[in-house]
Amino acid sequence: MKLWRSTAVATALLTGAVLVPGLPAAAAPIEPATADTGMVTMAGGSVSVLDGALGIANQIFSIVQEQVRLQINREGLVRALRETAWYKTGEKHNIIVMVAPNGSWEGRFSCHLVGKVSDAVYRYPGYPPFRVVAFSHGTVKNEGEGGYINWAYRGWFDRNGMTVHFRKP
Amino acid sequence: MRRVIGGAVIAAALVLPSVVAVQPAAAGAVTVPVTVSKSQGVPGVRIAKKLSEIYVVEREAFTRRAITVADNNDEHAYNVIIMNLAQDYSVQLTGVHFFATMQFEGVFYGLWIAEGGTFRNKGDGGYNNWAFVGQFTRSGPDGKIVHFH
Repeated sequence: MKLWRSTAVATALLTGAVLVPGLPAAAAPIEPATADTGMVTMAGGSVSVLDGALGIANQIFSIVQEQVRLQINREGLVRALRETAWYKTGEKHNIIVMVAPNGSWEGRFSCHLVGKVSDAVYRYPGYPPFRVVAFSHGTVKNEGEGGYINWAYRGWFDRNGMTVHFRKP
Repeated sequence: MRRVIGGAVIAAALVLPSVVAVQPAAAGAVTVPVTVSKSQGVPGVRIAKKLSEIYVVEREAFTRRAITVADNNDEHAYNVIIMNLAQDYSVQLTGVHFFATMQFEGVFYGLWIAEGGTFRNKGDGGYNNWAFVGQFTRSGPDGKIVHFH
């Protein structure tokens, strides 16, 4: 299975058929820059080659496509961390998953968590680090962007806007 | 009681599972990463090993194959459901005996073996996103709320 291709291109952007230059050397050999033109269609999009090597356009498209795929599946990673922590800690603790670019929630979340039984930062290639905490009770305020790409939680709670109050189980 | 399989919205609850083309894993073939978070009262190691050996090409085949593998490797008449975790859902399953996360083509899937409860798919209802087997009834729009018995 082809997972975690090591493109390391966090800045690659897909803007229709226009692609941003400045990409690193790709793993596959680059074909000579002939005046090939054509259309490459892949699952989830396509690229029209107007001038230059078809192979280069193909590689650029693959790199960007990989980034799109990672972004699409980021919610899946967050929920996977949440569910895994939930069952690993016996389904009897509150669980919070928070994006932690620097390995910390500081600057993104205000947390007061009591009775922590697990607190760890998980890193997966292609994704930002996520901090996962299993705890008894407390409060989490998301001071950044919401959405499952940034946080997820499970347990016994009341939510008021971007603040979640967790109760004891 | 007859055990049935479900998942895709277009599939009726009594549709039998389609035959999924499964090829034996070739020597050196990459296995499906499987992480087991809970295994209680079921042969979790065996189930995880069989899940990791699934060799299919399409996600639609993977979800159906995964629930079949989990169901066939546990002698209990429990229910099995697999869900694409990038899709929104709510889970209120009871008597969860097994939970594992897997990755197929970069997609994170969760697989539960449970005695009962309710699972609601709030996202797309195709076989590429979810599948389930067991004793159940379906309700809600497009039958995406599954009540396991």
